[in-house]
Amino acid sequence: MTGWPVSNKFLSSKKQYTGIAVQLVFLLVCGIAWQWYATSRNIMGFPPLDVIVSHLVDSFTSPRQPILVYMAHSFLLIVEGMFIGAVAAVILSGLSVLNNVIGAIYKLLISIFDLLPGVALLPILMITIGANDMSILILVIHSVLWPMSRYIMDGFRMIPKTYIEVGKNFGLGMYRMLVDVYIPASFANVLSGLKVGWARAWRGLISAEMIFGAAQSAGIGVYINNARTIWLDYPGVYGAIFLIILVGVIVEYGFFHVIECRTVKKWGMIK
Amino acid sequence: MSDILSIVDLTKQYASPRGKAGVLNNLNLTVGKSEFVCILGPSGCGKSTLLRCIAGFEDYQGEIVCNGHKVKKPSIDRMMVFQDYNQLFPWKTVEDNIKYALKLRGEKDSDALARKVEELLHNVGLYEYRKFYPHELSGGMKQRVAISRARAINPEIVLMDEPFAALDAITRNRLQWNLYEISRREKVTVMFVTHNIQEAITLGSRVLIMNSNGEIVVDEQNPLQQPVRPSTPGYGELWDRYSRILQGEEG
Ligand SMILES: Nc1ncnc2c1ncn2[C@@H]1O[C@H](COP(=O)(O)OP(=O)(O)OP(=O)(O)O)[C@@H](O)[C@H]1O
Ligand SMILES: [Mg+2]
Repeated sequence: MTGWPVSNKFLSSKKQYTGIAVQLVFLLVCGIAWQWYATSRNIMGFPPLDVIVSHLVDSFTSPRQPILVYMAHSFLLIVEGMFIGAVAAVILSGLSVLNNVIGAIYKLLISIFDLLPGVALLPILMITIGANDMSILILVIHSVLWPMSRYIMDGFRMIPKTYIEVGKNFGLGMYRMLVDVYIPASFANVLSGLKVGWARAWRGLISAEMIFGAAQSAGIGVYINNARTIWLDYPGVYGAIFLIILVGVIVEYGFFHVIECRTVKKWGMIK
Repeated sequence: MSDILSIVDLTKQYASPRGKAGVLNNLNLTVGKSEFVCILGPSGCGKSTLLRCIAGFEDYQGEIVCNGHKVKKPSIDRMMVFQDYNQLFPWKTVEDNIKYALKLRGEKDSDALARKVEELLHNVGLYEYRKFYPHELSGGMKQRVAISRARAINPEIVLMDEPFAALDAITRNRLQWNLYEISRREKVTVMFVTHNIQEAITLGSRVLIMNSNGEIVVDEQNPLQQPVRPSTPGYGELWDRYSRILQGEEG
C-alpha cells in the first residue's frame, strides 16, 4: 500500500535490445561471408546474395505466375488447416477432461499419431484422396492436432489445484470450467502446442507440395521444384527458400510473440 | 441466534494406505449466523480437513448441513479463502477477478458492477490497483483481493484457512484489523483457521481448540472486550491458557 502503483514492464527492454543487436550483427557477418564466397568462387548452384535478391524482386512481378501467388496459396492452406486443427485439439482435449472414456481413447490416439510424421501419411492420402489440396489440408491438420492436443492435455494436468478448487467453489459447470479456468490456466501450453504444430505443418506442407509436383498444387513448394527443373532459375530456388524463412519469422514474431506478450507474459504466467 | 452450519458426527479418513486412522472422529459443531469462529490446533490435527469437508471438497461420514442443505459438493454458499497466494485467476486483473465473482451472483448491470468493485476494493485499500494483474501484487495484497472476491460472492459462510500465515507481522496485523472491521460491520459468518493465538483472540468472537486426535477440546465465546488489543484486560491470561492447552496437545 505504500507509494504509487508503477508497472515495471519496461525494465527488461534494454536487455531485449542488446539481444536484437547481437542477432542483427550475426546475420550481417553471415551475409558478408556468403557474398564473399559466392562472388570469389562463382559456383552455379551458389549464387551471390544480390543476384538472389534481384531475382526475388523480379519474381514478384514475373510474367510467369508471381511468387507471392504461390506463397499465398500455401499460406491460406496452412491457415485453414491450423484453424481446424487447433479448434479440434481444444474441443477434443476438453472432452477428454470431462469424460474418462473419451480421455482414455484420446490419449491412446495421441500417442499413436503424434509420432507419425505427416509426410509418411502422404502415400495413403494420395491413394485414397488423391494428390490434391485436400490431402495437404488433412496433412496440415494432422501436423497440428496431435502435438497441440498433447501440449494442452499436459497443460491441463499441470494446472495448480487451487485454481480448479476455486472454480468448483464458484459452482462452475463443466463448460464454464473448461472455458474460464482450464484453457486460460494452461494457455502457455496451448500456445506452445500451436507453435510446434505450426512448425510441423509448415514443413509437412512444403514437402507434400514438392512431392505432388506442378500439376496438382500451386504452392511455394511447387515453385521451388519448377525453378529447379523447368525454369532453371537457381537464384529463384534460394529466393523461395528465403521467402519461406521470412514467413516463418514473421509468423513467429508478428503472431506468436505478440499473442504471448498480450496473454501469458502480461499475466505473469511465463517470463 | 439462528444456526447457519450444523455438523453432526463428522468422521473423515483419507484413503491413503498410511492414513487409515481417522483424521476427524465424530466431531459435532454448530455455528450461528455472524459468528466469527477461530480454530486453533497443532499442525496436522485436521483443521484444514475440517474446512475442506465443510466446503464440499472432500467426502465424509456423518452430516454437515449448511443453511438447511446437506453439503454434498462445493457451492458459492460456502466460500473458501485459501492460504495459497495464487488463488486469484492470474489471467484476470484485480477488478475482473472481483467482477467475475459478482457476475456469478447474477449482477449484470455494468454500472452496478463498477460501483461494487469500487466499494469492495476501497474497503481493503486497493482501489488504485484495480487494473493490476495478480502477479504485480505482493502476497498480502493478493490475500486482500481474495477476501474481497469472497465477499463479492456474498456467501452464507466464509471459510479461511490460514490466509495470513505467510505474511510478516506488520502486514498481518493490518490485515487482521481490516478483516475484523469488515466482518463486524457486515456481520459475515466466518470460520478462520490459524496457528496464531494472538490472531484467534483478536479476530474471533468464538474460539475452538482442537487436539491432535481431531477432537474439539475448547469451544468458548471470546471472553475479552472487543476490539481486542494486547492491552485489553485479561489478554495475557487468555493467551497463556490457550498456549498451555496447545502445548499440552502437542506434547
Ligand atoms: N490428501 C490427503 N491424503 C492423505 N492424508 C491427508 C491428506 N490431507 C491431509 N492428510 C492427513 O490428514 C491429517 C490432517 O491434515 P490437515 O491438513 O487437515 O491438518 P492441519 O490441522 O490443517 O495442519 P496444519 O496446521 O499443518 O495446516 C494429517 O495427518 C495429514 O497427513
Ligand atoms: Mg492446514
